[in-house]
Amino acid sequence: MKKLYEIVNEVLESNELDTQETFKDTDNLKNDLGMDSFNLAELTVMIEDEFDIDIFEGDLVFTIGDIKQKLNG
Amino acid sequence: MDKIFLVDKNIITYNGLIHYINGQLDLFESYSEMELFFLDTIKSLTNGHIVKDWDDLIVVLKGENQNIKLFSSGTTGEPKIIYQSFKNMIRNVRVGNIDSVWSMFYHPNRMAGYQVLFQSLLNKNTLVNMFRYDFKDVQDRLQRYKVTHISATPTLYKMILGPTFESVKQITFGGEGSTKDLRDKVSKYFPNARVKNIYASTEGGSLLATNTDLFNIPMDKIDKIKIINNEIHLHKDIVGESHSIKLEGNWYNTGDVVEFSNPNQFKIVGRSSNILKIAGYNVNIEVIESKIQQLDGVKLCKVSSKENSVLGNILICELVAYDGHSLIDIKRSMKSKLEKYEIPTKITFVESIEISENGKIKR
Repeated sequence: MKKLYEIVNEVLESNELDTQETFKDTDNLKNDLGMDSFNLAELTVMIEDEFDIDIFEGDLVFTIGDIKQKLNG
Repeated sequence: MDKIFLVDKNIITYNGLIHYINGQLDLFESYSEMELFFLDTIKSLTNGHIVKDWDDLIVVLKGENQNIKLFSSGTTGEPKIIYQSFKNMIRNVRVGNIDSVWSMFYHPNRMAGYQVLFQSLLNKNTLVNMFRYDFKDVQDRLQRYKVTHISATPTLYKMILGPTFESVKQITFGGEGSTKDLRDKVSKYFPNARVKNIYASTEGGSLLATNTDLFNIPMDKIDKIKIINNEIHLHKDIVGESHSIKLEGNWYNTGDVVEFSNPNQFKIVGRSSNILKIAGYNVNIEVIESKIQQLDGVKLCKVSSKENSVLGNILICELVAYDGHSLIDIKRSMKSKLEKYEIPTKITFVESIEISENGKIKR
């Protein structure tokens, strides 16, 4: 999941939000990491480019753990 | 020797090809396809008449009232074929500038190409071909031939910027949406040129002109051009003939969207097909492109949209950058100059962006 964390940090950095040294599965993308819907859209695009999966399609995704679950199928 | 043209000091033909008009034209220097096309165009327009000289050519051209076959820009889907009357085609040609040197940036069988061809032909002007030349060569040719008049899209202007072009007296923008800021930026490279902004379409020809951002419908056109629901509609009298043109009563909806600044004046903001909703905001792709193109380091860009599970639609941007400018720098300046919903979610650096034969970004 190293690549996922890199992507999340890239989105955080490019949107002037605090990057994280470590991530917890419970980290909420909006409440804990400070992302808004534009940042989430950027995150979906970058993850889709890397993993070929649209994480927000279908199930609700709120946390880092939700994304990991989605990527693990 | 072709029968249509006699050799004189102004028009010289050889093996059926026009090599010089007005003594210094090198319009057909490299492209036999272009040579033949122009010759065929003039041949068909003169309808078999023998033309003695320039004045005779103009008399013959004006005396003919036939339909000219045009191809639409083809920026979306298949190019459409439209027949437009010669009278409509030349209605906005200004006569009287005999010393002008025009440049041809468009494919000659498109409306914009014909407009330039007729403007130069009817004024006996030299016409220098730029179509299908590398942009470096275009820069050289503009200076070498002391071109005075350019009509091009914002995209084409962006591609030829570099040196300043002192000889140019008029630059005309058309074909794509542009902002005043972008036109101001471009015009710095043409220090002696006045700037014109025109609105034209394949279906209706050259329709409106202004020296600013704001257009108005002149008195002599108020029964031919109407704004309905902020979209420009043309009366069937000035619309060409084509199976692909669908009239609503007597009117044709161009799909070009305006924004009124006061009850009589409006800006043309782009095509309705290029306006979409991003996070609840109406976003015009052409306006965003124009804004991005003003940023430092951006040579050219293309914005498109993609469905997205979070926002409904997102913007994607392909961007050609000048050397020494990083993606981070450009993203940073986007954040300071664009609204949040206007910033593309995905930005990719590319080597080049495909441009249509009409000088527009190919979509």
